[in-house]
Amino acid sequence: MNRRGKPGEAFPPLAPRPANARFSTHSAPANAGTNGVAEEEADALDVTAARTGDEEAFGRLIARHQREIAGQMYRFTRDAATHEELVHDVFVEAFLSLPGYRGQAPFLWWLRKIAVRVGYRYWEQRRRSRAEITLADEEWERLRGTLPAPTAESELAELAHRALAQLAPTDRLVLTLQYLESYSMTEIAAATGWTVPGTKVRAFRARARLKKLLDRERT
Amino acid sequence: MNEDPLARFERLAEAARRELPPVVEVRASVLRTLRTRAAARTAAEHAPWVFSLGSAVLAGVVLVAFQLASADFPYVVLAATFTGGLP
Repeated sequence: MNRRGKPGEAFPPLAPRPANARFSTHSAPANAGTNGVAEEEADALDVTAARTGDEEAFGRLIARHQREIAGQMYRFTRDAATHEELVHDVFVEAFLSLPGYRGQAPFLWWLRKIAVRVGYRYWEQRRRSRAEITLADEEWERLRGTLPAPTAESELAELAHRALAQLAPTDRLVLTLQYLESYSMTEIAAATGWTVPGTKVRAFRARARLKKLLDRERT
Repeated sequence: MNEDPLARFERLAEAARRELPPVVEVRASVLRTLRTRAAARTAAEHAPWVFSLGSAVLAGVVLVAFQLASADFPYVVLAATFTGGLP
């Protein structure tokens, strides 16, 4: 069993970035911004200033990264109000955690890890309050291919989200990061604090459960 | 019809990946929240000091009240003090 946590448990403290992670200190991830090094240098300056209570500096960090974080949080909810609330929570939590940011990884990568935690916590809260997303018969039919898939991109995306929402939060998280955020296993491990082998096992089991879920509904 | 369900799901996921998220602007609300939290924290930090001062004042009032209520309180000295020593 994974020494850092079992499925369904709260995440351990943010883990350091693995050495072979795609998001190196000198190259921002493909979907993380466009200016790379210059952006990271600006982030470093603003983080230093924000730690001393400079609101403007933290405001600049928000302005620089809210689009990427909004994109990531859209994987966790498609409700507009909740989506904005989650993005807001990510930045509040980031500010409160700034003393713990050691600058070993790009700020955006650190921010993304916080976003994963905030999103996962939101799913856990929904699960506890039994606010489940249910699929209509027609949606099941479309998922299992007995009805044609929707043609509009947004409807296809909605169906993907609703299918993932049928899984437990841990399964949903690992598949969301893998399929929707295109994270590698190493990156998922770094973002969640799990070990790489543990992440692979989780992903394998989550895929099997998703497949079983879709197959089971076929009968 | 016999397509692997995961392969079918991957096509949906691809559409979800391409989808653009709604634009959000949270800078003002985040900074407002942080200011509110800072104000609350400052108030909480001052709370023990205010409590201590309040406790000291209350203790003084109680002490004076007990002194006034006691039989051997030197009313004569008190009266002399306020009347400039006149009987």
